Amino acid sequence: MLKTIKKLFWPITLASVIIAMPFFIFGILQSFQVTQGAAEGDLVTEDTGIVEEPEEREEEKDEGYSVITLGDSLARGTGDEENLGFAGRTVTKLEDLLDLPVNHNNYAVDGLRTSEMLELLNDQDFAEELEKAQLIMISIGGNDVRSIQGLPAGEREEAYREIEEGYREDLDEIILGIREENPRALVVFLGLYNLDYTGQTPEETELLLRWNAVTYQKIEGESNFVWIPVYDLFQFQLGEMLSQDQLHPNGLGYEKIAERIIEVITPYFQ
Amino acid sequence: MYNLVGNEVYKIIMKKRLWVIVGILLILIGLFAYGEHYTRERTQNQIAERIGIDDVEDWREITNQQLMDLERRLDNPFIPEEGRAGIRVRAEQLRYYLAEDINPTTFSAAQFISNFMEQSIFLFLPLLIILLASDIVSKEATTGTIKLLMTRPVPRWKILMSKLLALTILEMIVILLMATIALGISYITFGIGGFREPVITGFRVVEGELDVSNIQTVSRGTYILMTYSLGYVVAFSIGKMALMVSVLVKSTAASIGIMMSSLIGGTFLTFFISDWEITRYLFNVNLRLTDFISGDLQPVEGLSLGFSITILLLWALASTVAAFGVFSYKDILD
Repeated sequence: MLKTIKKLFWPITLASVIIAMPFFIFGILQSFQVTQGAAEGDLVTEDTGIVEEPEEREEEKDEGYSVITLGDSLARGTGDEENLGFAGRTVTKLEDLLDLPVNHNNYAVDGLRTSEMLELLNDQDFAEELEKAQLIMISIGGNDVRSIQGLPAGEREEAYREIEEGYREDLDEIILGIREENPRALVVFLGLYNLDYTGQTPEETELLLRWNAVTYQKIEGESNFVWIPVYDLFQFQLGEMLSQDQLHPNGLGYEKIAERIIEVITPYFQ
Repeated sequence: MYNLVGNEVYKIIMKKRLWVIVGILLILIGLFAYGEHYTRERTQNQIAERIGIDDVEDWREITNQQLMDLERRLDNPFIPEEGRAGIRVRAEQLRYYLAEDINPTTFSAAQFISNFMEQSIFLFLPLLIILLASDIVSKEATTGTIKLLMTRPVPRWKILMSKLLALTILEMIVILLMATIALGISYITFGIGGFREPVITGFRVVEGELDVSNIQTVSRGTYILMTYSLGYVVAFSIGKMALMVSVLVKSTAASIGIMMSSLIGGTFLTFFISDWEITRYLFNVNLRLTDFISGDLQPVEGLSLGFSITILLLWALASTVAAFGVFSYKDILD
């Protein structure tokens, strides 16, 4: 009995290896295929049984009010439990106010800086979008200022001055760029309210206010540009208005910002 | 020849080395599975605590939100085409989780199986192969049976060739054992299959940066096949090197020692002098074949899957030539 089992070792081993061989060859070939890449640039997707749902793009309606949002994570609505952000919330309120359907396109990108936004604005594909817009909401600059946080205290002042210099130039170009494509749209530009994840030093507050002053000056010089201060909204209730990450506003925070935007722009429509 | 190889396979199986390997696999995979299970559970609790969700069922909502977020980003004309590919595959993954009702934070058996190979391909697997192969010739020398072998009317190269073929076959058996044991234990521990889950792959390293323009998904089952096949390539070449050392050295202990120290020593070496061009021709640097498909960056730049496999096969070839050269002409004394 034992002997027959022992005799079987070799054939069984050989058989399992022969059976397994094609799988191994397939595996290695597949690895090569994956790392080398098939056709350049197109997405090869193995059928995993899940049919990709057709993209639900909102139909572009000609009637209705056209709104676009640009900028950083704040404009995108990061931290909002309902995922609307101040932009989405403003749009809802605007629909009530105007009694019109509103087309809203949000082009904000997390972590965007002013110079990057300028680059995007200059993109040719975007000109058409910009031209159509009747209201443009922008939140930008927070990531620019926050970049000085990693620096030692002594170098901050100097670094800030450099960033501010660049910001002034970029802002001028952004204003110019928008006006070139669209001389009529109402542009709402959000101020900054908070720099740090963990409470602000007085020094940081000072920089923040300086930054806001720069933006205010530039923006208010243009017709139909309006700068919306939000710093005061957060002043006494920062805790309740920030999301879990302690940087972005939560739903309540965004709601407050949206309310203020509506409050400021309501007279424009009357 | 068929009988000769069969005889060698039989000898290895009867030597109980293979059973030691099975034992090690059982114990280690059991430990790994328990460890994974434990850490997963803990992180899940931490996440739940942080976002304040008690009900585990809420993962659907979270996943849905992530998916919405990704889809919204796809609508954004500012995202460059390379970035889009990444977002699309991420979205596809999330859609799969939702459609199949799988909580992405839980761990599936299939995930464990491929993770296990990814983690063991550069050290644990080679160690097992060394254990298997290092005494294949030296043991005959230690016990003196080599003299018996030599007196048979079989040319020397045929003896070594049968050992080599037997080893090549058993290397694959070790890989199959790893897969089977991992499958069995992880199925008990994690329960969920998850073999159809899409895995993101297709990363490339171009000029030191991760290139995601070719990113794509394959099913977890295919991915497992890929990782274990690459594991076999490693097993194949390490086995040949161990065979050579086993021919050169008479004592099994020395043979294992030499292989282990060059394996571990070489790995250390790459940490210290990773910018030195010659290190990329060491076999140690090229063992992490699965990194190419999983997208982990290589410690040495300029490596590709083809390059690494070529280097490993060259080492195997050189070792085999050396082994045959020495074995055919060496004097068998005492």
